[in-house]
Amino acid sequence: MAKVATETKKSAANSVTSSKTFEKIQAIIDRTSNKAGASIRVLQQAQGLVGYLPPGVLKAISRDMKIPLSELYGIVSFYSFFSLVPKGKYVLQVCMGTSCYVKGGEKILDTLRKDYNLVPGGITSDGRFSLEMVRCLGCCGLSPVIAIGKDVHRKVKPSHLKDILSSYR
Amino acid sequence: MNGIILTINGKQVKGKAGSTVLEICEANGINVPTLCHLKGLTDVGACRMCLVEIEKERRPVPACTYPARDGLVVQTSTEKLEKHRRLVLELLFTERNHLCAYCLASGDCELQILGYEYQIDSWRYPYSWPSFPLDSSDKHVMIDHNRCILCGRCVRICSEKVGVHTLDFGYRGWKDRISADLNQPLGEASSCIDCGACFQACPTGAIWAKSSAYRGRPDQCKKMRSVCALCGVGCEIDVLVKNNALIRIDSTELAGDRGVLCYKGRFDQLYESHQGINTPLLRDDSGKLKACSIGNALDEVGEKFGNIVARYGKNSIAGIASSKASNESLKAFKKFMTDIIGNDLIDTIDGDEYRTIIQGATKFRSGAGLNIETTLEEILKADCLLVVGVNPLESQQVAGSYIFRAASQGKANLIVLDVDKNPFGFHASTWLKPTKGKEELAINALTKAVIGKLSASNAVKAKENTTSLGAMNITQANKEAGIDVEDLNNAAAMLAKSKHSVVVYGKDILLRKNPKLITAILRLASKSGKQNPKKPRVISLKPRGNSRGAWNLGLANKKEFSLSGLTKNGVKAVYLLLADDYIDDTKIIDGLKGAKFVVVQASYSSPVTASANVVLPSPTWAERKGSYTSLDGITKSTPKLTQPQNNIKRDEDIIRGISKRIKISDRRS
Ligand code: SF4
Ligand code: SF4
Ligand code: SF4
Ligand code: FES
Ligand code: FES
Repeated sequence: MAKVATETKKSAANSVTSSKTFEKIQAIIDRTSNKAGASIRVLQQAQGLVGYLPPGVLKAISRDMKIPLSELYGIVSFYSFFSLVPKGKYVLQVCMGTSCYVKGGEKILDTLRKDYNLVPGGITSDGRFSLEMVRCLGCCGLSPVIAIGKDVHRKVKPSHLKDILSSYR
Repeated sequence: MNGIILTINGKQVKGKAGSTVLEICEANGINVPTLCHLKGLTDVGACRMCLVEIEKERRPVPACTYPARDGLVVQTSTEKLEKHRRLVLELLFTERNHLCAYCLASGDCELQILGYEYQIDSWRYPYSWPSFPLDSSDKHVMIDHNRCILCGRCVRICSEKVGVHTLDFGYRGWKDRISADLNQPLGEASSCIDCGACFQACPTGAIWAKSSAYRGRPDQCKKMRSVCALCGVGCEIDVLVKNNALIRIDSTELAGDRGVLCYKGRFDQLYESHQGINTPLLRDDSGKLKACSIGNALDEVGEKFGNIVARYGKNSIAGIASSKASNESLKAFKKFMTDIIGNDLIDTIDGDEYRTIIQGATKFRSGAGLNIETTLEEILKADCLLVVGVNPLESQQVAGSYIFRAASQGKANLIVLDVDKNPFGFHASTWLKPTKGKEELAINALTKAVIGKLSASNAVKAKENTTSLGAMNITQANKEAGIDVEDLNNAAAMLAKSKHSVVVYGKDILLRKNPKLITAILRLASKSGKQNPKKPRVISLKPRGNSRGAWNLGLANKKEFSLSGLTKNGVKAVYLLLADDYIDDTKIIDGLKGAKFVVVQASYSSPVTASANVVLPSPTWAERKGSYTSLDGITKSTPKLTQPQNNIKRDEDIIRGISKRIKISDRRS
């Protein structure tokens, strides 16, 4: 249901992102908004600035560029380049291809969820790892496989995770 | 009119230049199947059902987007086209859940109708077993993405006609789906105003109204043309009735003007929110209200009214009506008070608002009345809108949609002048936020700033400089009114350069009961660019559904009217016609305390009926035939939609019953 604005733009504050960031976003909008494809350009630059596109940033862009939220979301969800969730320092990919799945990929996911509170699309509370599921990393002979950044770890057992993860600081 | 001639399926047909091929087919009774097309919305050619073959075009083209030209040769139903349409349908049935037996829309679904027509009993591709979420978070509207065909009708109506653009497409490919705001559940999408237009626009069972679910298909209901009498916009509606209950309310021309409805008109009326009164009540010796026959109740009222007039004179009875009642009820009520009782102690519950508007208008220009106001449609033509002290999304939502539409389609600059709220979010170019109580000063400062921006040769400017505004110091006034000078100057510039400005004001301004505010608003409007200085485009959003009707009929008193004052000064009895209004205003309840005898005619139990000596039943809007006048003066009527319980009589008949029982001879004393 519609909520009625009771604060002016000047007084709108946001807890996730600092007001400095909003000033920078405002500056991006000011120098971009009359160019062709302005919304995508602004979104790209805002993501470059914040790392991802949290709701507060999208709302600020919507308000200042007078673009409905739903339209922005349409753009952001269409292009895989955009991310609505923060990315960890390291992106952890767990292979769920056929071979890895059969050899225990799911158990790895289970362990990550239980021990690290990390789910696909999510991020650890310390911001170190974010988790993605992938299909076949091309080393099925050594499954199950996980990748952290550029490193591929083979024949991973749930019990190895602790050592592997603690080697990334 | 520019006529063109086309050949469709071998026959020559005439059409209007500027139409699409589909429109010409429809106008000539040639059936072309469609899904994403909805009259009144922009056509996008998304579904490919309406493909037609056109001579010299290499491929079939969508009729809904193809501009008709003189001499076009069109085929609408070749073997190739029918094969193609069948494929489109098969793909739709493959992609999502269209297992009709489990769908609420079965029997009222455009996809199902086409499925039957093309005899889709199987499809060549494997079924995709969709598992999209079901969104039931909203109070009224439910979305089952599994039944969506991505036609985009909901998206277009929400942005083009409702004006809020809550819905759009999210994701892509197989995951493509309708998404609200930041892909939130609809109930949490802050831009949604819950109007239900998307529900009516949806051709399938993907969007549904909880209030109508499982209560009967349209073809099992009786459909009647009516008018919503809730708020004064006066939306024309089609009401679906089954088993003497309202099942569903649709707008008559979905994508037309005044055609989107609001949650109150579309949904709230389907629920009974208050306890109904379906028998007369009489206060007995022990002081309790007890049910009695209508004859007994009328006898009591007739006798008491007669006695009171005989004993205390004709000015001892006052009548108050709610402007929610129909014109017919109000007419009868007024006639009763003037002809039978013989006085002019009548008023409407919103009489104060009436007097404020009229006094303000008279001061602006003598002789000006309600007729000085313009129509809601002017909002859609505006290039600059000023909304003062009202949240139309609460009070008159469809008027709010007009404002959204005008502002969001980039046609109009929107200025909000309001102490504490801006219902239009980023659609408002400027929000002037005066300190409470300083609205008049703010409006006058804005007027002066507008005059300053008009060209110097303008006669208006010269004239105005000699009046009260002449001495005003804008900077000083702004400071006092708490308004940002830059904002004020921006707003003034927009108003000064506009060619078609419209000012809308309402509730919060009227509640102040200060005619000077109205005069100030009218003066501001008359100074804005290209206005008729005698009849500036201004609309007041009036308090009740039939306020304009009641006021036109002279129900609202021209003089100040205070119930408690009257009862102190000799009024012994009060007759209240509430009809289906629910009143818990303490001022009225307190005012009634001074009266010896109180008669309330109402559809619902309320604190007011609880304080009556006699309660007479009154049919609701749905239970009576009647007419209502919109806030901009258009009168429309509704038939009786449902049968009242216990065959409650119309207000007019009850009033006639009382008249008959009053001894006329007592009257002229
Ligand atoms: S209910 Fe109205 S405002 Fe909400 S999404 Fe549907 S059309 Fe848009
Ligand atoms: S929800 Fe209905 S109207 Fe909206 S795109 Fe889907 S099928 Fe069309
Ligand atoms: S805007 Fe007013 S008249 Fe129209 S549906 Fe809503 S309440 Fe009824
Ligand atoms: S299935 Fe995991 S690497 Fe191929
Ligand atoms: S109706 Fe023309 S493409 Fe859908």
